[in-house]
Amino acid sequence: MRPMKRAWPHMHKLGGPVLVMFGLSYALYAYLNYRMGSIRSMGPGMFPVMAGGTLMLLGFVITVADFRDGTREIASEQGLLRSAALVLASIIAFAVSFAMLGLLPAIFVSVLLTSLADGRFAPARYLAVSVALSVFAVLVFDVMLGSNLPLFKLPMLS
Amino acid sequence: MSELFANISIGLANALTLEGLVYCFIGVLLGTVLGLIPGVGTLVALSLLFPFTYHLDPLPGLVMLAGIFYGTTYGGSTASILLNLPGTPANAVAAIEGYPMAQQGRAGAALFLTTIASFFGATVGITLMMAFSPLIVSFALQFGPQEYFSLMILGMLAASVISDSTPMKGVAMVVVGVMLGLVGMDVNSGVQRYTFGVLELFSGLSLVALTMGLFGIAEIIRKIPGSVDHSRQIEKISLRSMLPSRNDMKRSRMPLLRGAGVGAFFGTLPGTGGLIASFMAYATEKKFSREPERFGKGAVEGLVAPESANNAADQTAFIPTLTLGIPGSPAMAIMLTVLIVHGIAPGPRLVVNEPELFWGLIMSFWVGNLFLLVLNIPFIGLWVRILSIPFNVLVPCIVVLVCLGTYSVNNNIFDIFFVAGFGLFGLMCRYFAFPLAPVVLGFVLGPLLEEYFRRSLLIAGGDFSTFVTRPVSATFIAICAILVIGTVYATVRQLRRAKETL
Repeated sequence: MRPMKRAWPHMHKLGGPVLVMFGLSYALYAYLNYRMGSIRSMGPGMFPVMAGGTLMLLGFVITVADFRDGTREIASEQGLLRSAALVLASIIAFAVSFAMLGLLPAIFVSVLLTSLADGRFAPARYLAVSVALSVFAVLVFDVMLGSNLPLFKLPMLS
Repeated sequence: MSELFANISIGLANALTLEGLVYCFIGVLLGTVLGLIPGVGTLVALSLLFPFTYHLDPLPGLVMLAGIFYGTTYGGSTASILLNLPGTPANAVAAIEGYPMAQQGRAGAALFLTTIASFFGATVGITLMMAFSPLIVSFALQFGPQEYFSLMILGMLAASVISDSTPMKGVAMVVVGVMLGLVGMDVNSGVQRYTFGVLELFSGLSLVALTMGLFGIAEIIRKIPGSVDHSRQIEKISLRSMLPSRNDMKRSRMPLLRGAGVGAFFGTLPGTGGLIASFMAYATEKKFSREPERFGKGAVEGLVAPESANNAADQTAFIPTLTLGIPGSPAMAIMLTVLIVHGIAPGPRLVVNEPELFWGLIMSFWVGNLFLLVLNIPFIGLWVRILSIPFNVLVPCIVVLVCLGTYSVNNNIFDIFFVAGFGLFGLMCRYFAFPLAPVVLGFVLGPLLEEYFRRSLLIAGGDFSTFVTRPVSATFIAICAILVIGTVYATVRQLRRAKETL
């Protein structure tokens, strides 16, 4: 894979501003929606406002520090985007297929997606891992913990 | 003294049940196996497995979780020695001397010595815990909310400042954790905060989803590109090759003791734990040694001292967690949550009111460490083989385990989506070079922090000086101030130096 071209070299320094924004919106939301009370007898809004304010302050200092030393070496992101997308997709696919089709299909779908993550897919290994995990899941959840997970479901019938 | 014996017998009666022994064994076994695998550290192992302990009673659940925790440190050194890749960060130092030993064909002896050192360190740690916990409890029973608030601030500050290279970012992430921890119902007023009408959020964000997302998913994703297959690198270890020479034994004696002492001390401090303890122990040995030039080329002193230290630290880390209810590290925060899930309030009263739980857990440490001794010496060959499992088999297993574990806690599919969400959050944090561990600490302590803060100021009639006029609280605040000043000084100096080199 070709290393990605960076649109803007200071992208990874935006953590500080993100924190400031998060702190600000968090504090503002609390201030507008929850009762503040007094220092002596605090309402539900007081502590969140203080926490949000603290984060804004820290975010500001981090922004200044990050932009002042521009020497930080950033780790190569080669392949990271692909594995991140596939692993996250695999989790969501697990949840969706588990709800619709049951446990065993969910395992096979999820293992398929994660096996593709490093770009060295081998079908035999994929089948072996899926079967082993299915056996493990049935043993632990149905036999040991007795939680009766639906193994197979037909969406039309339920 | 007789009280101590009474406590020991209560503990043994609870630790030596069949259930206790079985879960202790499962815990240390899983700990050893997961600790071995580079990239799966203590936090990943705990996050993957702690949802399963929700289904157990409090004592067996804690015993198993604790076993996983200190088991990873035993297993982690094996990877350090054989592959020069630390199984957990706390074992990184073991690679400095252990890997050269392995290259000289003395891998067996190195593995044997680290196991003995680990066991020795743990023994010292547990003994100190038994001796000092009751004293700390009687002291802590007099704490008011002010003391607890100051101590929590100190714990969070220390954890984020000491253990990370960019202290400011660590502190910011603790605050983010606190803010995430406030989601859900406010206990004082019954108001729903930051739930946006979503029913699943009313009881707060799930710690399981948070830790799974941050450590199970985000950390694993980052390890996938560039992962390599180690299977060819590993040699067989015979029992005979494990026998250390007489010279090794003689050299190890004092480092073992010093390591355990250093480790036990750093274990009790908030935020330091096994990683710092092992580095300090290594530095100490190098200073004490009459031939420091041997270090880095397979000196046993530099291997046994840090391993003794990180295991001692693992055990003494339980002292503040159980006696004060204040975890010094994210791993301990997870331990604490298991108590809370079972409706047990952590703090000094736990030791007084639930001696079966407290002493049973401590006694299980002895049992667990004996199991580990057996697992790591005669059966080492088995674990070495686990190192050759390729990472691309491991990753799908971890992902499925994460999904199943998360689902099993509440039988709720919604939680799995949260794992993906926190995974993405974790990746973004790493992109901005923000550390993840402090988030968990802040998340667990956040609601408690607010509670004690409100109560303190209610008692003091809204006067902030209450935190510095009470002597114990003032001491904690003073240590916080020293930490902050020290960090700011170090940062400024670093920035100046960076400027000069430009």
